[in-house]
Amino acid sequence: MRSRDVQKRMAAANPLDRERAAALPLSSAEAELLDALLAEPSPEPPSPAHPSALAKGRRPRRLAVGAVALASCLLAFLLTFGSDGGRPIGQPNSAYAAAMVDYAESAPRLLLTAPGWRVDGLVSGAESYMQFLRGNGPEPEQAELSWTPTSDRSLESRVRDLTDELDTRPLSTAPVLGTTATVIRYHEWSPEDLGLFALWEEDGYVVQYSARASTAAFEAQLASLQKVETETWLAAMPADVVRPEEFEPTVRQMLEGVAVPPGFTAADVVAASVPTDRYQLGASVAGSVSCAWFAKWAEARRRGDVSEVSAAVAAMATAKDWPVIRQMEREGAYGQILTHLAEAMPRGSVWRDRPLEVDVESALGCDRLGIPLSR
Amino acid sequence: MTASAASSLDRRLAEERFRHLYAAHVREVLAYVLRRTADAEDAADAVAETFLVAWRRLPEVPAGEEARAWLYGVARRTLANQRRGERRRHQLAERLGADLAIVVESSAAEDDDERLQFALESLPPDDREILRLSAWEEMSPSQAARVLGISAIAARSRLHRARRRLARALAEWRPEPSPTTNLELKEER
Repeated sequence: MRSRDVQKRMAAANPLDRERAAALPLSSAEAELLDALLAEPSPEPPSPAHPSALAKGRRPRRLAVGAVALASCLLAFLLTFGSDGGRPIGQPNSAYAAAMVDYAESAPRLLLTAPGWRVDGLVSGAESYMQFLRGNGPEPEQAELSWTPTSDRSLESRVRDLTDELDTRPLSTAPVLGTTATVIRYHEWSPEDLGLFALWEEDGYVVQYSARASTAAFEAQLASLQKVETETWLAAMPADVVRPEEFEPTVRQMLEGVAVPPGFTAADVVAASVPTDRYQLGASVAGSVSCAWFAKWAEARRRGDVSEVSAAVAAMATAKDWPVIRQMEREGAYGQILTHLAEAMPRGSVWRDRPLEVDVESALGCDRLGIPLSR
Repeated sequence: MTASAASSLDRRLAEERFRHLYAAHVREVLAYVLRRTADAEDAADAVAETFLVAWRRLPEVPAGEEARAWLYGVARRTLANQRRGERRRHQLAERLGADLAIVVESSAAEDDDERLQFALESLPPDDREILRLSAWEEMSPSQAARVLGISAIAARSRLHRARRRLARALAEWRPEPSPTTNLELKEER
């Protein structure tokens, strides 16, 4: 199905179209609400010390990985880099570090080397992407680089799909890293508001670079992309990417205040993606604990063990208050999804007759976390 | 002009601006909310909370068309808080809630695209939201970006990915037996 067909189908499924919304007989109630609102205290003057994130609306949220929404500004996690006196964990520093280096060695490892650009975020996975920023104001320049294996999808297919999606032609080309990229342009509002995508192949990946910029600025950015050594690339990662030496204390800190099943230890937590940022590691920690509870719940239901079922439901009912979830709330929707699933435990399904385990697996990725939900 | 007279003028100017903002956008915000929850009380509370925030932070509300995205951003967060169980029952919204309870039921659309509903449900919430903002709120990626607090280019990329995922989910859909409930309600509750 083509993108424009998806859009048409979505539009047709609008539960309340504009005409019907306009015709709702609510004018009197709306007028009453307006009067009530105006009876409230006067507006506050704007506070320069606390600019509204909503009003700015520009700070990029961190990108998504897996089946859950991961988003964000920088998360101010208070990490305790204490002594290494805790329990041994299953994903030791060396394993995480090795996985991180393996990932970096197989990735395209491209950095924008033009002055002022920095890496603001990295999401690893089947489709990995990193975000670059330049400037520190409320509206920094932004660019995004993503890469997927050519074995998953060919360059031609990606270009065709994106061109259909953006409904824009013709294509152009630009030099990048000794090869030629296909460049796709689109306008958001006006000819001045230009967005550009460049796609090319690099080391077995289809790489896509996108930015809102003039053609000349975009081409200059492409020209400044350079492939770097593994150490340089890892060193360029933003502060919230969990470094190997931080992995163990961070997991222990995130487990504080979390209701874990009997026998569950920090050793049962595996990073779902490597490298990972603190939000995603939080998802791995909360996800591992939750998957363990869901697995116990499913098993107890099969056995008819009412007390075990109740224990799992009661434990998951506390998930929305786990400190790790409360901290993640500021960045994305993981906690909402978890709460949604936990609330569905008593009826065993979030969608018709589909077993809850299907949705838990889809949302939390229990298999990836090494805690399969046998059915 | 005395301080008290200046303050009175400020108040009148603020009221005037707010009346315009409210008149221009209250029905849009109401529709936005009703597309995401079928609970009349929750919908009325979300509308009241959104405009209460707008009134209290009026100097921060952008002018013109950008106000809509700003208001949707507030409404979106209010709905998210409701889903987390953090409801604020507004006395302000009592009348609106009561009227909504009557009209919502009679105006509810038939959800006959079960396959689409299923496929949407399988997507991450942010994917669902950008698809809805684009198709239901008829927002450009730049406008949707303001609702979601992300960059326009990131919104464009996310929309592109979300459509790909939805197309894939539609292709993979297999009907389940015994349809009994309304997905949209479950998702938003």
